[in-house]
Amino acid sequence: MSRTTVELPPIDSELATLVDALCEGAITPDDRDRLEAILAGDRNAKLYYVAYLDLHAQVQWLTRGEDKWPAGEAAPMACDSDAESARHGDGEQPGEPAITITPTSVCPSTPFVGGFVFSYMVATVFMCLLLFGFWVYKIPSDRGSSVTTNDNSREATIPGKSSHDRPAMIFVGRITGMAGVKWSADPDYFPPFSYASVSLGRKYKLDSGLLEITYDSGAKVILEGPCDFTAESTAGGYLALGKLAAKVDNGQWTVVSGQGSRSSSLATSHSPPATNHSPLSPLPPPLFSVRTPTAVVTDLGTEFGVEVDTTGDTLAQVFSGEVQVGMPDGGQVLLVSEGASARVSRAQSRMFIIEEKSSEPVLFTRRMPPPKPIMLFNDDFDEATEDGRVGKCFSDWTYTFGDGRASAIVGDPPGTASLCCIADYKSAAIVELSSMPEYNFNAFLKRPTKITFNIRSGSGGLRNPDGYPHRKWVGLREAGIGDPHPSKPMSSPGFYVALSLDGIHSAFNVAEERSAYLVFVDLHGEKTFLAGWDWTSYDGDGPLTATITLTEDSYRVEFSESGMKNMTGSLSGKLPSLGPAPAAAVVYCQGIVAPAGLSIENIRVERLPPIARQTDEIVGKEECRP
Amino acid sequence: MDSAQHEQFARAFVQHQDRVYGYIVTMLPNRHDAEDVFQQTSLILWQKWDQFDSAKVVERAGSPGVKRDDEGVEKSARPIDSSADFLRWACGIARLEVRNFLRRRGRDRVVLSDRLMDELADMRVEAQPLLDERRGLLAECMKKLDFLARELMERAYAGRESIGVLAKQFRSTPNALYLRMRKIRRELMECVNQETGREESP
Repeated sequence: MSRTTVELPPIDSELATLVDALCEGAITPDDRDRLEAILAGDRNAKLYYVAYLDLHAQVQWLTRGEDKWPAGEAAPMACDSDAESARHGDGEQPGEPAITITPTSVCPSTPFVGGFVFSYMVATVFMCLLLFGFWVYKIPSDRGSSVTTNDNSREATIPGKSSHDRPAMIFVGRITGMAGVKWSADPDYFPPFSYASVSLGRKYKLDSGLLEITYDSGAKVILEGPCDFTAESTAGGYLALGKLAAKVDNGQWTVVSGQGSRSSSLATSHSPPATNHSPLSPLPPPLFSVRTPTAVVTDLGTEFGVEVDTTGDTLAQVFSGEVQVGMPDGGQVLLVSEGASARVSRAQSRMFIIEEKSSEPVLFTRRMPPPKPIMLFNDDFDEATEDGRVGKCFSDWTYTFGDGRASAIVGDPPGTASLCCIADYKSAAIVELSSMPEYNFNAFLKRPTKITFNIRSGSGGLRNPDGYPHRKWVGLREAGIGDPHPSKPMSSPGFYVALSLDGIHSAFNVAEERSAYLVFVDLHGEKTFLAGWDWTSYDGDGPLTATITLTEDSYRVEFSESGMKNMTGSLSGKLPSLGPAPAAAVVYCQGIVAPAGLSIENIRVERLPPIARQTDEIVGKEECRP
Repeated sequence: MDSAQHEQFARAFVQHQDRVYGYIVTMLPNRHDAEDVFQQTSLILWQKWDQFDSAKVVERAGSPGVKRDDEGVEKSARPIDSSADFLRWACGIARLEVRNFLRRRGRDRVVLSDRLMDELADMRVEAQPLLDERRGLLAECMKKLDFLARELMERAYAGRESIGVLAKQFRSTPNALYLRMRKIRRELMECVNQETGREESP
């Protein structure tokens, strides 16, 4: 079969309609019979079916790592009884599956053995066996299993959620920094949909730029494009090509501390973190290792760089501490100390230490560059229609944030932003600030934290029906009080900006509920809503400075506007205590704006002096939490 | 099974797992069903790997002189000489697991007949080179989707939100979202065809 095109039937043809209905789970027995009749004698129709279902399968495959279902709901595709009603009714269907196939419910009769959960458990055991065996072979020096269990899932770190009835991917860390990342142009490589969590087996192929991954163990890896790296365990990865710098600091990781029930659970259900091993765990922690085509570089408490060239040769350079460099077959092993390097050549099949020592090697990027102020929206943007509504999505309109240190995650590739108009004149863009070095995984533990930013209006864009330029909001009020509310249809264009501690990069319509959120984000991107409030728009025209201060159990938002209104205001409230939970604390600034100009600048995140408190009190609070 | 076999299996499995999954989806389009069968298939492949490897046999459905093992999987005496052999073997087991799945579930789903499923499965195996090429192009085409289209596809296929919830967030209706996804899939198919034509043209 040499041709690569597939003859497509008209989109409204019976064949296309029936195949779509099959994909959506909305096909009836009569439809099925009709589809069979069409396919039976038509080779082209069969080829179309196969190709279309393959596309359907690939999209499913690409989104497998995104699996997570809200707590308290059945797995969306397990209960199919609502599918048919959803297909024929436009009302809200809270329990309906996203993509379904059967018109009848199968949930009540789904047996455990042979059911999804069982299969998942079996598959998990299978994967554990597979990867355990693989690592035993590949890394003889690895002293513990490198495989996590289900509990290392998004669900596992959420209070009140059970991970035992949900399928989930295994996550080994998070992306904590991106700078000028350009994903590989390899057509076989598909960049991650979501840039937050790093799933086991996820490959990162960069043509250029820097990408920082922080493993759950606390180890940090900075990939430097061009490179090809796969996160193949909780304690390491496979570098096929390019450079990385790894840092495995003792004591850097303070999240999985063995404090409280959640932490204990993590410490014993993960492969125990190398840098913070729970004494309760029966297994020793695995050492962080980087595998390459020719070598295995194993951390012995250090900071080091690894480079793999196009021939597969490996250079390991130790910045501090000591590493063990070994052959993949477990043969020759060499200890390399601080300042020294080792090169492993496949051609020569030997290893040697480079004699030249350098106290400050410059070959590797060991630190992510500091972030620069962010200009979020262009201010010569004027694409609106005459009636004040935006009629298209400017998906190809991109914006680079300085050197890309603060990455927009709605953009593709990272480092750019897309401004999309979804309804009315509201648009959204999101900036991820997780790359900011002072705001990392430990931020929640080290609260209080202060976030400050400025907002200025731009010069272009819409005018309201009366001919006035957009108003920009400068006020702030508690939710549910007064008008106008951003979720209501607005009589004139306005700016709405939300600052959220929020991993919901997709929640671009945040104004539907609140203008601003505080959301706790755990290590795997799972979110817990803490507080929300609404902004109110006024006719001020000066720059606005807003500050959000978080403490262990409270938030306070302050703003000041220096224009003609010269307004100030504040809002504060209590936060539920989260205890010393593992927190990713990614900050997203999420703007919902009219397509005139608006800039969000000088976003700064600071940690304030810690509040004195006794650790054991925190532990007790954590342990008592349901 | 020794460590070399572990690695051999891991390599073969990682290389072909998405194709095996796609093979299953050809017969079971529902993600939940397909995942279930895929995971069961993975386990069987793992369990049977040493047989496959040590006996140097491959499953060759329909080929002359095929034999069946105790699980009914057809095999013929032929060395493992390419990754295609693994894929054929894996798809043979996946086909059996689809049958087992449908038998367990008592045909409570609206599914295609066994005969047509077999024909489509055969067609898929025959078309695998074509599908492989199209998959590479599809990845490119998916990158071209606008933000909202990607957002919708990602979230709807990920299954963590109901269509009702998504419809609310997209300020649309469930039916409209289903139609939108149909159009997106259609656009992707057309894009792949166009890319194919571009590559084939001199």
